[in-house]
Amino acid sequence: MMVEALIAGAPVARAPAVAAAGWLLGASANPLIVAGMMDCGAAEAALDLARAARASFDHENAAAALADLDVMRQAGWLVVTPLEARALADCVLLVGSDVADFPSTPPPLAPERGRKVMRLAGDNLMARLGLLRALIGGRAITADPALAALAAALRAAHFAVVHWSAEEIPPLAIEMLCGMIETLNDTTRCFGLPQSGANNVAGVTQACAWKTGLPPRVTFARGRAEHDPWRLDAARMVVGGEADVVLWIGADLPPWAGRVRLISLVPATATLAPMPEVVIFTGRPGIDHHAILHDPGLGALTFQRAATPSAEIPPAAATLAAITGALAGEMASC
Amino acid sequence: MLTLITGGRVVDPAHGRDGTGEVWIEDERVIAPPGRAPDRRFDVPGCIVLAGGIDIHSHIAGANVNTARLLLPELHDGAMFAGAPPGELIGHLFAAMGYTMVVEPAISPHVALQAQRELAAIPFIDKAILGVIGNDDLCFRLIRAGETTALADYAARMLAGSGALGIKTINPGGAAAFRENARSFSLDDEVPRAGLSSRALIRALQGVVAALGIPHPLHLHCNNLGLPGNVETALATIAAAEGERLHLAHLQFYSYGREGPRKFSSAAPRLAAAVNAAPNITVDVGQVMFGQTVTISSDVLRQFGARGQASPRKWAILEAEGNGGGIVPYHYRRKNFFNAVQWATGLELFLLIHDPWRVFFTTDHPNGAPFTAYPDLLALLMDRDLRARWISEIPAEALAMTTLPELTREYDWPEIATMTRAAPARLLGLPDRGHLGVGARADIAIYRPQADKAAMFRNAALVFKDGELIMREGVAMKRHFGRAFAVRPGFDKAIESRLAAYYEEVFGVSHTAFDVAPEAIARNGKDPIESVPCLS
Repeated sequence: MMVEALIAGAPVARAPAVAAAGWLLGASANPLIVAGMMDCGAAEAALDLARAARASFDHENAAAALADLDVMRQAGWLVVTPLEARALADCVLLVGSDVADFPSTPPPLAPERGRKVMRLAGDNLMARLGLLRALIGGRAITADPALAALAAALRAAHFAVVHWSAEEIPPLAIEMLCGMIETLNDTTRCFGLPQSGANNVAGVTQACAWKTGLPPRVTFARGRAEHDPWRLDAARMVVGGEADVVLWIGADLPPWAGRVRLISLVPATATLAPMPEVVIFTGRPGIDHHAILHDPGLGALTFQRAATPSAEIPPAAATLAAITGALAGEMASC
Repeated sequence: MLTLITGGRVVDPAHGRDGTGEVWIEDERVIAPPGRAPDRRFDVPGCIVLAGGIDIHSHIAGANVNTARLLLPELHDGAMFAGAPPGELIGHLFAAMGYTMVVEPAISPHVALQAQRELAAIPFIDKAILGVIGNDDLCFRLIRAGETTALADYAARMLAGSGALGIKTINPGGAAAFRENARSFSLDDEVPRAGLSSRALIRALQGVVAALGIPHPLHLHCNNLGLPGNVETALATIAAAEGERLHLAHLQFYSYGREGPRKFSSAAPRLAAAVNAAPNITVDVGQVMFGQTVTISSDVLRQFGARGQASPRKWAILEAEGNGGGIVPYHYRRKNFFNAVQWATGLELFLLIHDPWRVFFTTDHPNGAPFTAYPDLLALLMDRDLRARWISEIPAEALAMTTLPELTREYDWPEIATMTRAAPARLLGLPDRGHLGVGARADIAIYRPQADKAAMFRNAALVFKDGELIMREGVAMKRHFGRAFAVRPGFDKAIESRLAAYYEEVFGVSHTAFDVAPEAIARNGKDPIESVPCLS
C-alpha cells in the first residue's frame, strides 16, 4: 500500500495529516499558502482555505506575471492571443533571448503579405529598446541602420506582434514596448504578446481574479481580500520571518524550505529534503487527475485529461478542501 | 418537503394571475394545492410574490470580465469592485435582489471553458452563456460560399463545444475590420478581405438560428455603438431583419441623434416607435446609471476608440480569434451633458416601448451601470415622482435633448413581473421558469413594499431557489448552487473533419482543444449543464 502522508517524516494515513495541517494553520499567527505548480481547481480550493484561515496566497512565479500586469494596470496595453498572432501577423519582433522562435511561414489568413520575423537581443537591450521607441515615436535621433530597419518594418506591417517574456526584461522595458505599440496603432495595427510564465501562474492568476477580484499576493488577514505585490511576496515573508506556517503546493519543495514550519502537498516524486513537518502526497495535474491549466500555446484555459487517472492519489483541490474542513472543526472547537 | 407561501399578492403574468393567494412548493417545483398540511409555512401578508428574476444580459464571467478585475485592483480592495465583482459576490448580490438566473451574453468559443468554470463557482443562481460568432474567418468563408447548411453545422458545433444557450454576434464584421486597421464600421460597409457586409452577416446568422430552432433569437450588438447619430444604424438594422426574429442588445447605446448645439441628443422616441411597430424585434435597454463602472465589450473596434475616455486612465485591448475585446473603465457623471442624455434616453425607451414582453430590463452590466443599480432603476420605472427628483438634478441642456420630463408612465407589478420574469423565460426558451404555475421550478422572490422602493428591491424579504430558502432580507440562509443551461441542436458530423483541417491550417491546433468537458465544471458529480430543447 502506498504511503498517503508523512508527519515529521513518519508515514501516516491522509486523515491525521489533514487534521495536523488544519491544526497548524489554525494555530498560526500569519499563515501563508504558496503555489508552486497548481491547477485552477486547486487554486480555487486554496483561496477558499486562505479565506477560512485568514491566510495570504502567492504563486512562486508571480513576480513576472505581476510585472506584466503592472504595466496593464498602470497605463493600459494592446495585446494579442498566440493563435491570432499565428493566423495574422505579418511582422513579429522577438524581444530578448528567452522567447522562442516564431514560425516564419506566411500568416494563413493573409498569406500574400508574408511574414518577417526579427529578434532584438544581446547587449544594451534596454538602451536599444529606448531608441526603437524613440524612432517609432518620430524623434530625431541617430540610430544604427539595423534598428532603423526594424522600426521601418514595424511601421510598414499590417499586423505586427511584439513578443517578450517578463522573466527576462524589466517592467520599464515592457512599458516602453507597450508605449511603442500604442503609437504604432495610430497608423496601423500592432499588438503585444507577453509570454505566460511557468507552473500555470497564468491560470492561477485567472482563478485568483474570479475568486477574489485580485491577482496572487492576496491576503485575507483582515477578513477581506487585499492585494500587495511587495508585502505579500511569499519568499520575502518567509526569509523575513513574517510567515510562521506555510502550506506549499508544488511539484517539489520550495527553495526556502527549512526556514519555516512547512506543510507540503507534493507528488510522491518530490525530493523531501529538508523534511517538512507535514507532507500529504498529491496527484500531478493533468497526469494523475484531470485538470484545468492555462495553455501558453493557446492563450486560454484548457481541460487536460489525465491518461490514467489515479484513484489513490487525490488532487490538491480535494486535499485543500479537506484541510478547510479540518480548520473549520478546529475553529468550532475553540 | 412541502412548503406553503400564503397571504401575499401573487403576480404571475404568464397565467394572468394578480391577487392574494397561495403558492405551494414540493421539493424543487411549484405544485397544485395538495390537500395536505405543509411542512413549513410562510405567511407574507402585504408582500409581493413573484417568480425569480431572470437577467438576459449581464457580463459576469469570462476572460474579458476577469481582465476588468485585474485592471482595477485599486477599485477591488475591500468591499469595492468597480463593476466586476468576484463570482461569490455576484451570486450573493443577485440572489439578494430576487434574481435566480443570469445570462452572460458574450463568450467566444475559445474561452468558453474559463467562462463556464467561473459560472460554476457562482453560488445561488442559474446561468447560461451566449456563444459569439460573426467576426471569424471561417464564418465569412462559409457565408461567402453560400454554404448555409455547413454554417448552421458550424454554429451548432460551436454551441455544443461551448455549452451555450444561444448565438450572439457583436458588431458583426467590425472586429474583423479592426484587424485590418479600420477605425469605423457600419451596417453596409464591406468587411475587409471578406467581401461581405455586416447586413449580410446578420441575415445569415438569423438564418442559422431559425434553421437550428434555437429558442433565443439572434442576440445582436449593433454597429456604431455609442456614436452620435447611430439611431440611423439601429433603424436600418431593424428594417434589415425583414420581419424575422432579432434581439437588439442594450438599445440605449444606439439611440442617439445629432440634434442640438452639441450634436448629441436622444432619438429614443423614433427608435421606440420602430420597435413598437416591429413585433419580430425584442430589445434590452442597457440603461446608464451614474457612478464608477468599467466597460467590458467584445466590440474591440468600439473599445479601441473609447480608450481616450478611460477613467481611471488605463485600458486593456485584446485582439483575439473571433472578437477579442476591450476593457475601458468609465465614470458616468450626473452633471455631464452626454451621460445625462444617455441616462434619459434609456428611461425613454423603457417608458415608450409599450409591450413589456419585448423590452428587457438590463444595464448591460457593467457597461451602463453595475447590476447593483437595478433597485434604483426599478424604482425609477415605478415612480414618476422619484423620476422627477432625479430629472431635477441633471443639466437642463441635457434634458432639452430628451422627452423624458413629459413621460408619466409608471410600471406596475404585472409589467415588472413580465419584463424581468415571464418574458425572459419565454425569450430564452425556458418553459419551467419565469412563472408560478404548476410544474414551475420553485424559484421565487418575495418583496415587502415600503416607501423606499429601491430598498425593497435590493434585499428581497425571502428568496427561494429550487424550493430552498436561500435569502432572507439580504442574508444568505443556505448555500446553494444552480446549474447552467445550453441548447444542443444536432449537426452533421462531417463538420468535424472540416473544422479539424481548418484549425490545423490556421491555428495549428485541434478544434476540440476548446471544448467544455462536463467534468471540468461539474460540482459534486452532478451534470453541470441542463439541455434546453430546440424548437421543432
